[in-house]
Amino acid sequence: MKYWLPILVLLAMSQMAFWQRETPLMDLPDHFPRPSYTFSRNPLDTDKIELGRVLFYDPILSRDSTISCATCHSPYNAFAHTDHDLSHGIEGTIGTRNAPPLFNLAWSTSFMWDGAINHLDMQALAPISHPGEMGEEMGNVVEKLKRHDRYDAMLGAAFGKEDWQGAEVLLALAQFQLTLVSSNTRYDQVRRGEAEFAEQEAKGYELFQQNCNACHAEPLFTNQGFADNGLPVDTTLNDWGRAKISGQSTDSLAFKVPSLRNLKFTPPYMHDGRFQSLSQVLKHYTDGTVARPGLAPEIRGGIQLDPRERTDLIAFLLTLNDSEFVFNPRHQFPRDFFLKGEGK
Amino acid sequence: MKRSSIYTALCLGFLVSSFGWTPAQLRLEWVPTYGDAELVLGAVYGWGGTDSVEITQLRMYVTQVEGWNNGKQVWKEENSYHLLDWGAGKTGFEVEGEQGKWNELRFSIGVDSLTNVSGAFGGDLDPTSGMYWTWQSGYINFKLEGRATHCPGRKQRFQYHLGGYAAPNATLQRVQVPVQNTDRIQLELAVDAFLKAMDPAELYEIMAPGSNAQMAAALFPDLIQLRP
Repeated sequence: MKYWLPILVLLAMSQMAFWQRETPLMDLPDHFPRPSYTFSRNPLDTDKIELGRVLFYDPILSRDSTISCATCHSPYNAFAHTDHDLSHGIEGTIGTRNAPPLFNLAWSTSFMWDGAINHLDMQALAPISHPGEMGEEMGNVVEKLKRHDRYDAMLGAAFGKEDWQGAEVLLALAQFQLTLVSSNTRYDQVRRGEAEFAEQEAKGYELFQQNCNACHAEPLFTNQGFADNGLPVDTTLNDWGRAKISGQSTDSLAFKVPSLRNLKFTPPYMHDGRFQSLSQVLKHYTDGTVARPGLAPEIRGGIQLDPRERTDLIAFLLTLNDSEFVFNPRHQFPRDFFLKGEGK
Repeated sequence: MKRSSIYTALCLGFLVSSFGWTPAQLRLEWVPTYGDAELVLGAVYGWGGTDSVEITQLRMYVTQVEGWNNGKQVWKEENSYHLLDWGAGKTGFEVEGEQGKWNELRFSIGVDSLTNVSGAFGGDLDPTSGMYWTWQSGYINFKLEGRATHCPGRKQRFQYHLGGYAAPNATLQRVQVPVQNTDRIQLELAVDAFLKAMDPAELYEIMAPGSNAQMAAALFPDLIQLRP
């Protein structure tokens, strides 16, 4: 037995070393559910994450090298795009939807406002190839990156193969986006026992649980589902949402339930960016929903809130802002790549 | 002495080659046909006396390849995903099947649903190979494009992109073909019969999952047979 003890200690130490080496790459909060992403198929790796970060900020992915992922997904807006109600693309094109923020994507089960994309690895294909966004064919992206000495070397080294293809580009982009974890809001600190809500925030939290949590389920503040939240149809867009993808009339005007984290950084709100403020959003839910067959049952008849309760609810929603996430230097523009060692 | 050395060398050579034995390679090929002849991309074929048809692109996924003998599976290819592309000269592939052990080949046209929802893969499944939809997740299982003088589509083009992995729009199609013992199996795919069933005058564009894609994919078992 005494011979086994050192072996067991060594084994335990090696496991701890592995854990310490691997876990800092991405935060997996204790109070979050198990991620949906299958990491065993694309294990996180420092080089791949950094490669993904560089690609995320590089307009080389667009047809005319003017638009990067970060153009519409700015780190200082929790990777959304403030000011613009609809996304902007190459050659001055304007899209049909509001660029959503990017965080906690490892827990997402579908992507885009209509859930058209079923996996984070494949998500980047959509904006890269959309004529109103980056307007480029993925095959051309691969050719451009293969002609670029530094990218060719980085992709080859990160994935251990010279004949890397588009799949590796997508996997690297997914790795960087997986690291975008927002989990240090005041709400999270309360959940961890590190802080307490102020009286108004606590009242707002109660109102949230009674009126909002069914769809915007904590701790991610989305149930990952789709719902018709009663917005009047914008006839300049005629966007029918999820129905276009599923082909089901019951999905008409249903859009993905967004997370309520980081609202301070991500106005305007809704899939078409029609509301500039949280007050406008609450006014919609109390007085503005359109009664129609597909309307989410949770909000039929409107949510009942008096003016004081609206203020309390907003006070709680402001506890969901994560400044540490927004200003995390590991997520920012990779100056070393773009400014110090210019690629060709 | 000299002769014994030669015998020794021969024996050693035999032993080495025995240890280096590999299973027999069997080539599987798919041959698209138009009428009685092998289809030629870009060739113009007559249609109904006055019209004509030209095929410009033909690609399809062959997956889940299995060898069966008298109703029993005797061989299954691992990691079985092959993108055939007649424009690029990729008309088949080699497998390590044992000759004479099967009398039926089974395979699928299309990519299974699990792979469709499992992220990015390389090789023939690379999503940048032109067989993956970008606006909505999912592989295109079969792609046939061309022109027909009677087609009302833009520039007389028809485009059939068949895909869809999830119910109720799944299009993965299983095919079973009796085969004979040989080191090369050639299967015919009757493109003319496919086009006649679709009729570019009526249905000239399938670009998304749905009932039309399902209808078209369901034709495959009747369009594929062993090449005589």
